[in-house]
Amino acid sequence: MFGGSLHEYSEEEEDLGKIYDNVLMRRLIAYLRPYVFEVTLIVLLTLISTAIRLVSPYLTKIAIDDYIVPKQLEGFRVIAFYLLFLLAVEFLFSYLETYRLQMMGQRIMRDFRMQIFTHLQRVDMNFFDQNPVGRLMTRVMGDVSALNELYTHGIITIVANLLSIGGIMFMMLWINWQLALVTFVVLPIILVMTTVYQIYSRRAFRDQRKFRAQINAFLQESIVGMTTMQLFTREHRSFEKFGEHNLKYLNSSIRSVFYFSVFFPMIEITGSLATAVIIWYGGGQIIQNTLSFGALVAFLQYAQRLFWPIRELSEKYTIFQRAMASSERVFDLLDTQPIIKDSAYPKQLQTVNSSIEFQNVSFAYREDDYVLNDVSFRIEPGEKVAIVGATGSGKTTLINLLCRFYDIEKGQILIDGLDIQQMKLDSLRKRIGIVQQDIFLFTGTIESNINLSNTSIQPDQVVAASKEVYLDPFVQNMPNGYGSEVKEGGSGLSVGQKQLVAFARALAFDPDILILDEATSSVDTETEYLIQDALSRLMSNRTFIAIAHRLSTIQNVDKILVMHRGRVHEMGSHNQLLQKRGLYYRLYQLQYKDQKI
Amino acid sequence: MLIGPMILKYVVDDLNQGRDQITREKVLLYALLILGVALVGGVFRFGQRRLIGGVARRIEYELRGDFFKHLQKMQKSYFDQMDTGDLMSRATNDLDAVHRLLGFAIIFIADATVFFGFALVIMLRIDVTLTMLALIPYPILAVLVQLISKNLHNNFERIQEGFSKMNTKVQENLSGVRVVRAYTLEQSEIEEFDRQNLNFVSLNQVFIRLEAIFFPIFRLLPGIGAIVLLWLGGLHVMQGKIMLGDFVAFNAYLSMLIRPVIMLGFIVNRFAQGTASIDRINLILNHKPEICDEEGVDEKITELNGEIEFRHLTFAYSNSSPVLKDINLKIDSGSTVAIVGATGAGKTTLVDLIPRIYQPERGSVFIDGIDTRNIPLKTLRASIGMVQQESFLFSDLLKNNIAYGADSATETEIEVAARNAGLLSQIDEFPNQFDTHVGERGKTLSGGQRQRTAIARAIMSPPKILILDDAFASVDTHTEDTILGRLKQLGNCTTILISHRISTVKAADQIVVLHDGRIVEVGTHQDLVSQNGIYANIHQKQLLKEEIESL
Repeated sequence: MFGGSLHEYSEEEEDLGKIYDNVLMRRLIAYLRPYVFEVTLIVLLTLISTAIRLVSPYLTKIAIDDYIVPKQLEGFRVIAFYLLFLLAVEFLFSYLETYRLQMMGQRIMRDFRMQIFTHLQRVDMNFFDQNPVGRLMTRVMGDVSALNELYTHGIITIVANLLSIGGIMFMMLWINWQLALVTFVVLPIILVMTTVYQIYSRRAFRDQRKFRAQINAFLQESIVGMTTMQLFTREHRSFEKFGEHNLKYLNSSIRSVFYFSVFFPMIEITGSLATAVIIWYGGGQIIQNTLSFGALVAFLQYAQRLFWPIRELSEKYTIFQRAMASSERVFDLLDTQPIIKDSAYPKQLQTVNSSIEFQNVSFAYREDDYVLNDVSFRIEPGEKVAIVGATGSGKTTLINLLCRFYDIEKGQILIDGLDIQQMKLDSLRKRIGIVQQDIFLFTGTIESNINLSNTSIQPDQVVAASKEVYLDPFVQNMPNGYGSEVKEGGSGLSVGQKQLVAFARALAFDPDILILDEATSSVDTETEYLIQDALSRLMSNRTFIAIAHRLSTIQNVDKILVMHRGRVHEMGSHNQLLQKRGLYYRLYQLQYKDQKI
Repeated sequence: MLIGPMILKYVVDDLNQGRDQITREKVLLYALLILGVALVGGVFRFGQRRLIGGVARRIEYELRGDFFKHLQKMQKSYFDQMDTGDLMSRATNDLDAVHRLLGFAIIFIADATVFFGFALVIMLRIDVTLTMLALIPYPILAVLVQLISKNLHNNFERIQEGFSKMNTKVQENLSGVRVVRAYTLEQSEIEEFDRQNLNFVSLNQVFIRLEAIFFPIFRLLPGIGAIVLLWLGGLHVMQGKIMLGDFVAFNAYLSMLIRPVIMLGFIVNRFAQGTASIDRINLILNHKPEICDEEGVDEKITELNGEIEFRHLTFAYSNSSPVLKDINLKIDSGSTVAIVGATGAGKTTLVDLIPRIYQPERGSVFIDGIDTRNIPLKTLRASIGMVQQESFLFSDLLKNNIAYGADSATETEIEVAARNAGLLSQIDEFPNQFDTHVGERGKTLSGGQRQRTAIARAIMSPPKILILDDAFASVDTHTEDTILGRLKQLGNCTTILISHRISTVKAADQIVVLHDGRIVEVGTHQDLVSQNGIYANIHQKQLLKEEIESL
């Protein structure tokens, strides 16, 4: 969670500034389109509940002027009843309004999340090389929440606030325009005060956030680097440095406490100023008989209600700012187009022999930094091939290219004579089963990790596959069998068991071509035997390619491809290559010879 | 603040009693009085908020400092068990909860009691029955707020759970992207994610429904009180039981009570959160550090010579089987010892015990014949220069990283250290030379640059004992030779080398082969090669590897 926090914080800092951007806003508004009905309803509800809130002070005025002061009992009850009714209606409507609005926000967030997630399923693999998982997570989860604010507390609330302000001002003017105008003198004061407060407190708040981020970054770094710090006996110095950050944060916090302590009493004083003005001028009007009591009381109530929406409005600034920054990042992500996609006229394979051919393939992950150089070889249908070579010789890249995780620029890769770039991506990958070196297990059950939640694979197929690779006895010993829970990353399972789960998975999908990137980590001898046996079952009846780390694997394949510095250095059977006493002979001595069995 | 409505009462009564009772001047006086009272009240409120808010922040500041200071004393094994994220969240979220409790909660509790007390007394004096009736909704409100916010809280936890499930899904999907693509699971992943999304929306529905009731209730219940007041109070005015001014003042007081009541409801929950957070912080602060200067430490030891001896050293990480078994080894001052062995043989553990990163048993590790547990930690560690396997660099300038352990280092001293670590010859590869920012954990540097920076840092102030734990893994053999040659000239310094490369260890005075936590072979390169054991085998393989690389 805190990994790379420094980066995240600094990224956020840079983005402060813009509060409105036409292009972004237009795109953001477009997300409201499916909810036109909801929006209309919400606006309607808001209108009504705002109107009701305007009426009740007026009813109070009537109650005082027409009933209480002239001591008129008749009809007084009706007024009270009206008030009660309006109160109930207002309660209901504001409930509905809040509920609908928030739910719409949730649905829009879902739309956003789904759109981003779906998009991430299509982007190229090299996108993930450039964008760490943590950053992408922030897009899908964090930025989307910031956008929710815009929809639920931004656009519509602004409309509601403006409506309230307008309505109250209208009512005041309508009851007594002279008194209203005098009272409005307070408005610029409130406006100026809130704006000034917003500016200062926002600045203080930004400082606070910055210093806090610094403290957090420093603290985190210190925790991770604690041993280094202790080894160099830097405790004292590093505490001083921490103290500096801490003090900066304290000072900025106290500054913001100060603004807060000044502002709220000021607002209260201004409220009293409004009361005083109303009493002074209104009192005078009462003496002259141009104003009634009820009107005075109603005015006092209206004046207090006028302050709220003004204050709320001034808080929208931050919401907009954050939404703009987040939406920019989100749209940036959505705008990256995948390069690897189905060709316009995909061709269907007629045969299912699964021969594989690399023709003069060269490839570089980064420009001109070639990992593969003019690689050509052919694997016959049903042939078993092992790829060996030192680290960095290009073994894994061969597999990445065959699965079309990356596209090549030079050369061709053919399956049964058809260029893989002309095949449908789906149909290509469905023909290939792959068991990776670091086996990835999903949170779920043993079963869901074998059938990968693919409902077309029946439970008995799962069991059959497990039996085939000797996973079944392990699973039977688990408390819930195939329903046993698998935790994130497959913790709780041994390395060997994870390997067998991956085998069962590959087998359940029954691919034409099976690719195995063998794990280097060693397992105990017993499991090693199981894996070997399972492996021989796995490779029968299909084309098989392994990046081999096991002696038994290289001994059991038909052909060995020796990679060296991005080229195919030697090719042949185990015995042929040994006799040749070339690179393979040495690799064998180095990596395989000592393996027992 | 509370006097305001009283003035209002006199204004209204005067205005009501007849035109002759009141003059424009009197009205103006009342108006000014209201404003004056508000001003005085405002000043006090400002003082109160500033004081309490400031104190709360200061306490938070002290606590954070204590927290950091405490962590500095904790040993590595403690951090091995603790999750960094957990420690961070205690230092941030929990501290926040504490300052909120101290700040807001106290302000509002004070406000609420004063307001409630005063207003109640005044209202009761105006009209007892009216007060009772008008106040009926308030206790209900307080209880409701408490109840709903508790419910909201519980619901919120469920929502958090749903959120973290989605989070996990996204994270798994992105980390496992190769499996997803290889098995063409994109569609089913999208469907699964949408299921969780929908579930999340419906979890939120309950929360939103509660929340949507929550806020209107603040208007509904006091509103009912106000209507009761209007109705009964109106009647009382008509019957002449109370004055119209009383009625207006009463109204004003009633509206003043809304906020404190709401706050009271909130604070109950905040209180629980704050105290829980204090407990969580205390749990950390009460954990005693294990590795520190104990009784028996000889404070007079301020310098060491660098002769190391392990006597029957057996070591296990907490509760697991021993990693080192009966290690006996003497390293002469100024000599070079190389340690080789397979991964997991115990090499790093052995060297970590020298500066007491982990705690060795008493009587098992000696320097200059003194048990390391009797040497002041500061002296011990200051005499040792160590380059760890994964050397940690701080996100700072390159020069500050090199001079990390030295209090006042001159540019020339830094340059010398950099030259000896083989860094100076490539300094131009850094965009701003010594002023280059290395980034978080030194991520802008290459592995080899990081290692050489760490070496420079370790030799910045010439140590008596230099420990190089696999410090050359990312450096090519040629550079390694040069660096080792320079280090040799550093003076009388005991050097311990861990390496996988025979070329590195060849020249050592003593080579120690660790296997499964035991010393299995000791001797010079020649001795060990002729023994034809583990070392000889490693040696042979290394030759093969070189051969392959040269092809």
